[in-house]
Amino acid sequence: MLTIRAATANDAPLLNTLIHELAEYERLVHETIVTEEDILRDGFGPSPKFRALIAEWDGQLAGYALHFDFYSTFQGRAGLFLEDIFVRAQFRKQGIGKALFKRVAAVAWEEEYFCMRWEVLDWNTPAIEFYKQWGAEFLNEWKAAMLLGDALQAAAE
Amino acid sequence: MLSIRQADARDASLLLTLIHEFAEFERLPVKVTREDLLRDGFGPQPKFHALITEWNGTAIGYAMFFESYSSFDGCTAIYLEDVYVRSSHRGKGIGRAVIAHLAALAVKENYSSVRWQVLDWNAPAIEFYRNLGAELLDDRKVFALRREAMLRMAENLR
Repeated sequence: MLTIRAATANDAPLLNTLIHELAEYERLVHETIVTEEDILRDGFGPSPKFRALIAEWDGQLAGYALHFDFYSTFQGRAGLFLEDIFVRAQFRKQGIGKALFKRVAAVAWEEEYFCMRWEVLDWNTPAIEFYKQWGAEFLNEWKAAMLLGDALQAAAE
Repeated sequence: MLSIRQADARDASLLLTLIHEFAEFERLPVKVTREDLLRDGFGPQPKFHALITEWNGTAIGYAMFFESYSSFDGCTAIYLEDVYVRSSHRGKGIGRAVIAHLAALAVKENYSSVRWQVLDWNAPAIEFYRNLGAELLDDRKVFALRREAMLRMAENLR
């Protein structure tokens, strides 16, 4: 049986494991440097930078979702940014991803966020189909850009 | 001469004017009120930060950013949501100066990166960002679920 609950500080080791598994699935493990300490500090300190949900199947760790707030000046309201949603390989095809996604949508609805936003890798066709089916709008014209590392340092000067 | 300063509660009306100008320029609907800005930008737990750009002491634009989070980095990033420069002062390198300002803030306060979005048909902007050394994440698609769709999903849960 599936249960979904809000993550607490006790879940930091579980979240660390799941984040690394997601990074492996997304082929980004070489860029993944998060530690359990980072998760404790940023998720469960006095002013949390994110919130997380844990999915369990018959008491076994099955997946997670992680989100934080963004803001729209045009709306004058916060939106919910879903950074991660992940189900472990052995627990897929049982509706767990859908249930997690619905729970995040329920949080966004109940807490009066104006919108829920997320990104998907363009080769992940099953995920893209899944989201379209649910009435998600595809913001096709937008590209994400970022400055980091040496370029960030150079731009600062 | 250009100066960039952090907005405070006294700038709420100015910020509202600039946001309306920006929305008009982008031909997008705008609902925000002065009260929204005061509550969300300048209360005990701000949801965003704003910068006012001035040219010889006159306001000519604004930028708005907030903290985003990368679970893979285990670190916050600066997410630049809006940069607006009044038409009278475009082409003076103000956008570049705003990004430099945020890059310096990111380096100083240990944010992993500065991030933003760009429209894929805006070739001059893309060229400009590439010249700054920015990485364009071409393999990512952005999705949004607005309130009606959110409710459909949430109701389905019950």
